[in-house]
Amino acid sequence: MTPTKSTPHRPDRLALILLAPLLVFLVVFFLVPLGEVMWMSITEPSFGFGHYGKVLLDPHYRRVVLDTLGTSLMVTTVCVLLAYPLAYVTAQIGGTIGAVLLMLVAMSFWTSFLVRTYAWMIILGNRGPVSELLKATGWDPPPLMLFTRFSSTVALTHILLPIMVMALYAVMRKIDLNIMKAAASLGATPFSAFRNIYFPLSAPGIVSGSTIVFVLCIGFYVTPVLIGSPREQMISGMIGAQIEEFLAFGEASAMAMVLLVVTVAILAVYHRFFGLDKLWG
Amino acid sequence: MSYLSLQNLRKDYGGKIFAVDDVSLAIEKGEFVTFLGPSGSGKTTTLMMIAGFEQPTSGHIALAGRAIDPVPPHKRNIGVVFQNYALFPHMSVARNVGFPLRMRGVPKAEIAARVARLLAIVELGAFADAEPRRLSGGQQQRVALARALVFEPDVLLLDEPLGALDKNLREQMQIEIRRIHRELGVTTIYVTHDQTEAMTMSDRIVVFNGGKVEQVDAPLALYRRPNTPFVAGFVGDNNVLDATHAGGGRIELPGVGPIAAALPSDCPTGPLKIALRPESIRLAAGSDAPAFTVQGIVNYGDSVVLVGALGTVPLKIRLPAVAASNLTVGQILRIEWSPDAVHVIGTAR
Repeated sequence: MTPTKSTPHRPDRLALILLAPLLVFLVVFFLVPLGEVMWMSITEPSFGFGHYGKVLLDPHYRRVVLDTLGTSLMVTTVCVLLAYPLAYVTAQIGGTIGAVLLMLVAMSFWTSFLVRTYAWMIILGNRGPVSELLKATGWDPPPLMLFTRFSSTVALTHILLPIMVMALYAVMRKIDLNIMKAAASLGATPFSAFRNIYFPLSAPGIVSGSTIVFVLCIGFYVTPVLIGSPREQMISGMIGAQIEEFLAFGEASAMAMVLLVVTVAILAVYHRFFGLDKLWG
Repeated sequence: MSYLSLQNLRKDYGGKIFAVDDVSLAIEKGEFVTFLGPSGSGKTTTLMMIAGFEQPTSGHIALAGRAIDPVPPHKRNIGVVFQNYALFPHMSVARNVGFPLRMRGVPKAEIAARVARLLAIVELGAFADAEPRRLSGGQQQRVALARALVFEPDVLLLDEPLGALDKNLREQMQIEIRRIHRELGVTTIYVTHDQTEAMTMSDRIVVFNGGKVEQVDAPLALYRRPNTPFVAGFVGDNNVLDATHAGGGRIELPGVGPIAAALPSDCPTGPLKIALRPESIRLAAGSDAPAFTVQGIVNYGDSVVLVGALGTVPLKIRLPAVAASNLTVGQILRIEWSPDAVHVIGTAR
């Protein structure tokens, strides 16, 4: 064996030593608890797969799963529609306007989502500015907005929007401006150049942004619990309620496993087609 | 009226300095014109104004007798090739080349035929279905060229198209571009900072400097009779020297004395700038010829450049390699040149 072939082993061992604390941390605080949840889902209170049967077949649980997926799909769609123009302006125009927009997105991203959730509570509350405005325009009494699916969808969209913007921005920033000039010189109208060139080239950002937002959304706990509808819970809220109110650890664990499987499945599909390393642009 | 005319074009970016400062040009149909100049000289900005990507601050552009100032880029029917190719990465080679035809609503069968013809001209017929990124730089640039030509543009603009290629490939592509120009006869404007490229390819060269046009001429005329010291120094290697014309056709170098020069009859008297090509100087046999002190020797293989001084005047000499063997630094040589090798640039200030 030549020396050049044997040398790479040393960095490998070094990498392993450097990674060791993280690996130990993950095993102790992630894999072990996860195994415990998995174990509880089939042993609590007695051994069997009955919880899974219930979670997947019981109409009430199925409703929660479908509501969660529906809300997440809605949030993801609205995020794409709002974030795309914002990211486009930020990436293409740049300069001061771009910097200010990016700053606004980042500030919103860095603000605790608990704070942002409470902000929405005030905005959408019964005596909040939106209600008063609707009253003033003749919608009296104004519709109940807080503690509905509407309020949780709005708040989740706001909370996850920066992530979508950043995923799109990362892809759009890499699009060569000369390509758009070339398209124009070749006879493409601005709209046609966008449809045929820019949009297809930015589509990977839509896919990865949507994947991230959707996956985060189906597992989101705080916001739906605080301002969502108690009758149209999302999975995480449901899991929390099972544990806190009914001490039903088995059912809660089974639901958590279902949520995990759905999440992993989405990421697996993404990885199959695009590669997980591209998820963050 | 010429085919493409630029009238008093100016471009500034809000400052006091003009990126392009009062450029007027007349380009004939079918001509191959090169914009030559250092970076920041305004050549690319002028090109981008012709393409419509930049709006002139003032001045006008007319194509085939029609003012195109208000026409947006996609309606100008001008092909542009960029230095970084700017191919559409998500389309095959054939779809890239077919793009301008699809934008013009050309029937499918005709698109296929015209794409095939252009790919044959750039010798990439076998790569029609390839992804652009699988091709080499030279091949990608030929795809870009085919794409910019397939819709039969009125003018083809090339913005330093060979700048990203290595030397051998660049020379091969120069020949290729000339051949394609001969075959299709499209009016072509070629931007480069490489004076050799400009010399070998162009019908006419426009020399840009500081946003202004220094000289417009055929390559050889530009080489033999530069109008300004900048052109004399930028196009080819040159000795630009301060001299004095005392009258009567006698020209003197300060500290050297009278030198051999054939002056034009209208040459003004007083201080002048003259240009003397390094390769027009040769070694003299006699001992009364001017003395040149060798201070440095640069070997190019086929030729040797001697850097030194004629009296106190710095001078470069290019000799064929065979004539320059056995020369050493510090040696004093006798040199001569034919009187008509001296070109008077203009009056020195």
